[in-house]
This record gives sequence, structure tokens and C-alpha cells, in this order.
Amino acid sequence: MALDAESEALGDLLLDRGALTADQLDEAEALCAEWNVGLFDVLQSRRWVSADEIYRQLAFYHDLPLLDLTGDRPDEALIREYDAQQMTNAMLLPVRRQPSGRLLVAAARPGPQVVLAMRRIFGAEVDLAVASGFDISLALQRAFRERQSHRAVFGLAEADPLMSAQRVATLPQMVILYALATVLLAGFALAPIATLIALNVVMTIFYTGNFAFKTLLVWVGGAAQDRSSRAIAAEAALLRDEDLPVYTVLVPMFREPEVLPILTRALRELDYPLAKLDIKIVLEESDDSTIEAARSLGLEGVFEIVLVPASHPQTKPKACNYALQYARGEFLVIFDAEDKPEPDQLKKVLATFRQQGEKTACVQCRLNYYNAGENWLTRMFTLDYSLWFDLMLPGLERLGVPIPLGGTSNHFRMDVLRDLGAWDPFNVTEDADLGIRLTQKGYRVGVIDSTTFEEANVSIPNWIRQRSRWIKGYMQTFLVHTRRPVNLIRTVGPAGLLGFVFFIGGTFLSGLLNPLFWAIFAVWLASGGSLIEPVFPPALLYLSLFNLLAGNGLLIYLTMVAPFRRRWTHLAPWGISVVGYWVLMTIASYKALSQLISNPFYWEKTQHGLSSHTAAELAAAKADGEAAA
Amino acid sequence: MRVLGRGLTCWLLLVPVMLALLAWPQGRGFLSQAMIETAGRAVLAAAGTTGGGSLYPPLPVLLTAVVQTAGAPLGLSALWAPALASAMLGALVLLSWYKELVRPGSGAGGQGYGPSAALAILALLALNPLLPRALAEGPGAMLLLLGATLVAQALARLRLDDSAPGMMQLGAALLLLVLSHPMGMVLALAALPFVALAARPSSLAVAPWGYLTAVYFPALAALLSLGFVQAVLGTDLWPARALAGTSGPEAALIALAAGLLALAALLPLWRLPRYAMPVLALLGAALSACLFNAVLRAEPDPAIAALPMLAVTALAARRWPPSARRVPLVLLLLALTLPLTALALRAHGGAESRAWIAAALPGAEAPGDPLAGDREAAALVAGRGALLVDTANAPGLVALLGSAEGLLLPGSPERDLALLSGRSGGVISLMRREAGPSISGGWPLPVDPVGAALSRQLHSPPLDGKSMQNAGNWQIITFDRAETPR
Repeated sequence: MALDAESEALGDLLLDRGALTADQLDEAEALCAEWNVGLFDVLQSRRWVSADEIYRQLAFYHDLPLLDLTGDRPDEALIREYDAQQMTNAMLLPVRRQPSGRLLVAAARPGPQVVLAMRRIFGAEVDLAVASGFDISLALQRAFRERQSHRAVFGLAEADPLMSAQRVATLPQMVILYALATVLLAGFALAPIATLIALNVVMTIFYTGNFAFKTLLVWVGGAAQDRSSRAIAAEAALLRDEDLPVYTVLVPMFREPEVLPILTRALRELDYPLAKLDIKIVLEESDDSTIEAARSLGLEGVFEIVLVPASHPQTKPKACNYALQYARGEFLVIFDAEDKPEPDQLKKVLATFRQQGEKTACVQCRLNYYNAGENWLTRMFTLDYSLWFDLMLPGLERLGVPIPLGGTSNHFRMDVLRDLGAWDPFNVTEDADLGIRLTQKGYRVGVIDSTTFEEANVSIPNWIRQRSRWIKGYMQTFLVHTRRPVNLIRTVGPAGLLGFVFFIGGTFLSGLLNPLFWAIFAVWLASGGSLIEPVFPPALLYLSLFNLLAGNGLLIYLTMVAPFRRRWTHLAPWGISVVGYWVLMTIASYKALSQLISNPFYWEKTQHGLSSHTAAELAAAKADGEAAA
Repeated sequence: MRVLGRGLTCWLLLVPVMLALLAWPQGRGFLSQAMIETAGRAVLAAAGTTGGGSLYPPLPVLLTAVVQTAGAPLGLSALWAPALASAMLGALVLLSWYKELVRPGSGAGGQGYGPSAALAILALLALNPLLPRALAEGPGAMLLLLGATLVAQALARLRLDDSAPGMMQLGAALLLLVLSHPMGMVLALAALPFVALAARPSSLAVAPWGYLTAVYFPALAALLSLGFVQAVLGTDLWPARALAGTSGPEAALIALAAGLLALAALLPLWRLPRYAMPVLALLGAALSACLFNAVLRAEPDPAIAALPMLAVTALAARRWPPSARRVPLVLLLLALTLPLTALALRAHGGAESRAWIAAALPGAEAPGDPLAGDREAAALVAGRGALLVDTANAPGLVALLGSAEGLLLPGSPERDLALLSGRSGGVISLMRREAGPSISGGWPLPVDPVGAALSRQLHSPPLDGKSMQNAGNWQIITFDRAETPR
């Protein structure tokens, strides 16, 4: 395919000025044809020519003045008169009204389409100039800072207050909780034994249901997927780079400058044209160290740093909501800073969206760890994730139960994500909440066989911090989505409701109830049964024994078979020690409960980069980055 | 849903067929000791007790208790409940074989049979004398066959796709085996090296111990759990006395006769290790289990010890590589298996198998009623209440009574009182007349030490208010209501 006129001229100019070698130009032109993009986009994805030089030649080619918006600050009041989204999409910015009355507009990519967009937004009385995309984006962020920051925090809460975790519990929920507590206390006062038996029955039945549901999920989830995985992989392999859409990659980070090279390396290794990636490294504006680290990496032009204004709550979903307003892709994915997605992930996701149709609004990829063998905790964490992502989530998908999205590697259709109001910044597991919200709004969440490898927590205190946030988020999600119970049943169906209760509610309730049962068991062992017999009539005793032995045995077994899909059979015997992991879960559950009451929106930060494997990954990524530069 | 409905319909149609296979020898007087014991223990289990007897094996008893409880309002007798449970399980086994035979697959050795060929194979498998013999043995034997079938299918599946559900199925099948029948435990033990043989080499190469730990965890956890329950409930887990029956290596001869097709299948499969290895592993496990049993003596009847081979044969039929000659060859080999197994059964079967053959053959002399000695006593004490008997050692009597109502069960204050005092007003005590402990098929029941103490007291000189009466195998001692404990 022949190059467009702009690309051809830009290439000649850069070659003529010695900014680009002949080999580089040949390679760039080949990529233009292969990816179906202009030379400008290809150069943005390489570190051959500085951005300043590209814009200088672009301005020269179009015979337009080049503006330096950092020195020549645009009129922010003027910018705010126009629609931020339209300007972001076209990368246009009104700089100032000139003495002649005409508007001076800066464009990052002057061309016929941009001129049309410019006339649509600003009218005909405009003069065009060239400015760098970074400058335009920065100016837009500065001008709309307050408005967009407010939208990032309160967008969902204002549009649909009941779907936001801004209020931990609503008045009806408080009344119900109060009524339940009253009934319980009255029961203890009037008929303590009968009340204890009733409580015991409810808890025991809940446990039995939880065990049964998880077994069903693993069975169904393990059997599912093989055929569809093959079909998806086949279609992904047939996708042509030239047909691929722009894909936004959000990388929210906070105080983790050390792991950034791992992610940039992984993104460069994706089997997707880098020129078609709209990568936003989302940083808190107070996070000087990470901002400095990101800038010092000298990243390609496709990497854009978005600075999130300081506001409460300081959470990852708020940062993502903020950055979403600058996203240009048709699809969007979130990665954590230390993530290593499998190279064909984006293509597989696109193939899934195509195969599953419009109703599939989100695709969750699997997560697992690259440092599984580091210590006991990383082994258990790996078993936990293998069970969750490899077996249970596919089971949920197959049974049509709402899927709580997990942390990273969830891919969205951009239009649906924006329609739904994106993430809830008050929910500390905003991804899980969004997964349920998607199902409630009639969309599907797909789960596919593509893995993103992460760093498993190597330290128990760090793990408890991370897990307590997840569990607190599950509590928030449970409270949010049970506010309209009739609507919930209507939208997700009875099976979906049951799954929601056991999967979201069961996860934190079992952590909270475990110590109670362990205490009863200890009393039983110590007293020989005489103390607990009054509250364990024979039928309940048998059911409790079943739960204790068969239920727990089953959960241990599920943990043991979880790594089989990946042939990590060496991890299977470690499953026997999962009881110790449950103890940690219980500690995290109680920490989560106390935080839900005292500090519901506090984001417990997980420290990354502690693993020795991460250090090795980092060294390799740095070496790779230097070689590429 | 439609598939489930169709399966349920087929199963409901197969249950009467299985019942008919079972009812013929039972109608002519054959009743296995295992069936009697299961019926008696199920009566006690329905009342929430083991009656002082062993917990093991729990599954056939629990299943029978459910059938008894559900069938009681319809007039199902306690003695027919295990037979019905056995027939239900038999139908399930046949359905599972059929499903496997017609299941579509891919590649050589992967293709399933058409419905008519599958039905013909199924009929020949069902007519193999081992199957009706197992049906007559009771639900424990049928659960053993079901467990062996699931193990066979899981091993074959695991070799092909190495999936978590395959691993779960294998774990669950081994669990089913060890909780269903003592021979199941022997088979699980014997299968240990053969699981490694059947496993996908690449999976096993990563961590053989990890693999085997995951496979055997459910079975080991179940056994430990049973031990824990025994400690909590204060019941016996394992048989306390020496075994009465013995079974030598002749079980292997019966297994070889029944496994002719599986042996023959190795020839066409030898170039296809992913299909051949599971069959070879299962053949090895089934034959090894027969030999292990000769040492461990878990199952006294060689016919029951050889039963798992039937599951191997069903799998081998499924795995026979597709060709124009596959159906006639498989049918021919299965047809040959019938007389071979019958001859092996006649020559090497245990006492009960020989009795079963006698009951099954129209011209032969039918065996006597094994419950004849219990019927008279049961008729005499039924409905009279406060019966003191060593329930663990009287399964026939308990089954004939049909309910635990009126029995003084272990753990009840009335029984303790009667045992401590030796005589209690209104209590009817039943003691066996014959000397020595009662022996059941396979695992003997434990002696009730307190009952033995009572026996000594009851054989002491007559007391006021004590009357004695003989009924069949039982001596019935009644204390007047006026008699009070001293």
C-alpha cells in the first residue's frame, strides 16, 4: 500500500535533515503499510526521532506555525467554553482569540479530518497552528481539571446514587440490619438455646451451600472453554494488523516507580501495533517519584502520562475515571504496573468481542503469578488465583452468574464503559462492582484463556493489606447491589442471585464466620462435646460434621486440582496447607470489616517489587529498554 | 434439561430390568449375607445410629436407608430396600456404560458406537454373570462396580485432556470406591502404581508426587474423616475380629475370563498409547486387586473381587479402534466372555456365588432361607417394644423387624440401665442360641462386650419374673414389668 502524501513528505523531510536513517525510514514505511497507519503514528511508537523534531517537520510540511504551549500558555477560560471530549478526540485546542477576532487553534495532527472537526467545534473563523499532542493534552487537563476531577469522583454517584458505594449502607439497609440484630438479641434473651440452634442452622446451611456452589463452579468451569478457546485463538491469529482498532491501555500507578520498566517492556512485546495503542500511565500529581521515573524512561510517544488532581477519595478507580476522559481507543484495558500480559491477549479479546456479539461488553483475562515458587505465601496465592481465574470464573460465565471482575486485564468496549459511568471511585474493588453492574444492565462478561502474569505478594503483612482491601470491596459491592433486591433478581435471575450471594457474600462471610466454627470445634475437642451438645441436635451435628470433614476436605481438594490446568502439579500437595491461608483470610476479613466501619474508602496500598523475581524481571526490562533506545 | 430428562427416563426403564435380574434368584431363596447386613444396618442408620456396629462401609448403608425411608410409606419392606438400591445402581452403571459407548470423540480410538451397536454391547455386558451376581450381592457391590466404572472413565479422560474435572472425577471415583466396599479400598490401593501408568507422561514428569497426592487425597481424607467420626460418635470403624471368609488368587482367573475383551483390545490399541495405557493400567489394577485380596482378604467371594474387571471390559469396548470389523469383533468377544465367566464362576466362585448359581438355574436345587432362624423370633417380638439385642450382630432380625422403633439402642439410658442391672421391667432380651459370634460375608461384626456381660447374667439361675422362650436361632428372655432394677 502506498504512503499518504503527509507520510511521504514527513519521511523525506526527516531523512533530509538527518533525523532518520534510510534503514529506519524503510522499516517505518513497511510498518505503515502493515499497520495501516501514517508515518507520524509509526514514529510515535519508536524512539528514533524526538517528538519535538516530528512536530517541527509536520508544521513545516503543512506550512503552519509551531506553538510551544508550555511557554505560550493558552487561555484556559476560552478552552472551557468548548466540549472537552470533542477536543480530546480531535486533539484540538483553542489557544487564544487573536486581535483580528479569529480564533487561534492548535492541532496535533493537522489534516483534512481535523480541519473538518475544527470547523464543527470552533466555526469557520479560525487560524490553525501545530502543537505537540502532549502539550494539547496537558492544556486540556489543566483547563478541565476541576470539572473532570469532579466527574471522576461523583459521576456515578450523581447519575445513580444507589449504585455508588459513597454511602456505605442506605437507610433501609440500616433498618434491616438493626431489625436482624434486635431479633437476634431478643432471641438470646427469651430462648437462647433455640436461637443458638437457629443461628447454627443458618450458618451451617450457608456453609454447605458455599461448598456445593464452589464445587459446581469448578466442575463446570473446568469442563468449559476448551472448544471456545480454540475458536478464539484461531480467529485472533487471522486478525490483520491493518484492521485493528485503537486500543486504550490504562496503567494506574501510585508510588511504584521501580516496576514501570516491566510493564513498558511487556506492552512493547504485545502482538499489537504499538502505533494503535493509546497508553495512559495514570499517576497522582503528588507522586513525584513515579512521575520522575516515567519521564526519565524516555518512552515512545504512544505512552502518555496523565496526572490526576489530588482529591478525596484517592483511589485507583478515581484515577481511571479521570484518565478515561482522555482515552481515544475503541476498546480499553487496565493493567497494573508489574503486569506481563501474554502477547496475543489484545487480539484474543478482539476476537472474543467479535464472536460473542454486542452484548459482551467486557472480557476478563486470567491472572496468575510469575513468582509462584518463591515462598509458601506465593504458592498459596498462586493456587488461590488458579482456582479463581482458571476454574471458578469460567464456571460463573457458563452458569450466567454475575462475574466480579478481577483487578487487572479486564477489557471493555469503550462506549459501554462510558455509558455505565465507568468505575465507582468509592468502591475499593471497583472492578468487582463493575462486573456485577454490567450484568445488571444486561451485558455479558466473557472470560478467556489468556493470562496476565503478575507479582504474587511475598510478605504476609503486605498480603493482608491487599486482601483486606479486596474483602472490604466485596462487602461494599454486596451492600450496593442488594439495595434493589427485586431489580437484582429481575436482572440476574435466581441462579445469578444465588451465585452473587455465595460468590460475593460467601467470600467475606466465610472469612468472618470461620473463627466462630473453629472456636466451637476447639470447645468440642476440649469438652468432649458436653458443652456444645445443647446447640447441636443430632441432625445438625451430622450436617456440621459433614461440613467440617467433607466440606473442608472438598475445598482443600479443589485447591489441589486448581493448578492442573497449567500443569503446575508440583503445587498440588501445597493445597493441603490451605487451612493456614484461610486463617490469613480471616484476619484480613476482620480488618476489612473494621475498615468498612471506620474508613470505608481508604485504599490499602499493595507494595509491588518486593519479589526477587521482580528484581530479575526489572533488570531484564531495563536492559531491553536500553537496547531499544 | 432434555438430555437429563431422557437419561432419567432410560434409568427408570432400566431399574425394573435390573430388579428382574435380581428378583429371580432372590425369589428362589438366595439372599446374600451382605444384603441382609445392609438392610439391618440401614434400619439402624435411619434411626440415626450404627447400633454399636461398624461405620464402614457407609455409602451402601446410607443409600439403603434413604430408599427404606422413602419406600416405607409405599410398603417397601426393609429387606427389599437394599435390593431396590442395588437395582437402581445397576441401572445407573448400565446407563453410564451406554453413555460412554455412544459418546462422540475424535481420532482413532475416539469414535463412539451407534445406538444399536451400543445397545447390543450393553446387553452382553449386562448378561455377563458377574453383573447379576453383583446385583444380588447388594448395593455395596454395585457401588464397587460404579466406582470402578468412574475410575475407568476418569483415567481415560485424564490421559486425553488432563483437566481439573478429570482429576476431580478420578478423586471422586476413588472416594466412592473406598467408602462403598472393602474391595474398593483394595482396588484403590492396587491402582496406585497403575494411575501413574495411565497418566499423561508430561503431567507426571513435572511432579509425580504432586500428581499422585492430588489423585489420592479424597480417598485418604475420607478414611481419616471416618476415623475422626468414629472417635466423635464412639462407634467402631474397622472390623475387630478375624475374617471368616477367604479368597485366594482364583479371583484373578474369574477376572481374566471376564476381561477377555480388555486383553484382546490391547492388540489393536498397541500403537495408540493414549488409548491403550488407561486400558492396560485398569487391567493391571483389577488383576492386582484380585491378588491383593488374596492376602488382605477384604472380600471372601472371588466373584465379587473380580467384579471391577467388568468396568474395564466396558471401557475397552469403547476404546476399540474404529473399523468395519469393530462391532462384530467386540460382540463376538463379549459373547465368548459369557460362558467363560460362567464356567469360571462355577469353578472358582465362593460359597455364596455357588448358592446364587443354584438359585439362578431353573433345574438346580434352590438354597435354603438364610433368615429362617430369625423369622420366628421377629414375628414373636415385633411390636412388643423394649427389645434388648446386640443390634450390631443381628442384622437379619433388625431387618425383619423393619424399624428401630422398640429397640433399645446403644447410647440410650434404658439400654444402659438394662445392661447394668441385668434385668429390667418390661424388657425383652434376645440372645443367639448358637455358640460363637455371628459372621457376615466379608467383614465380621464386632462383639458387643456389654451384651456378652448380659449373656452371662441371663444364663445365671432363674429369677423371679424372668421367662425364657426359644424361637428359631434366638432365646427370648422377658422380665415382668413388676421387676425393678436392683
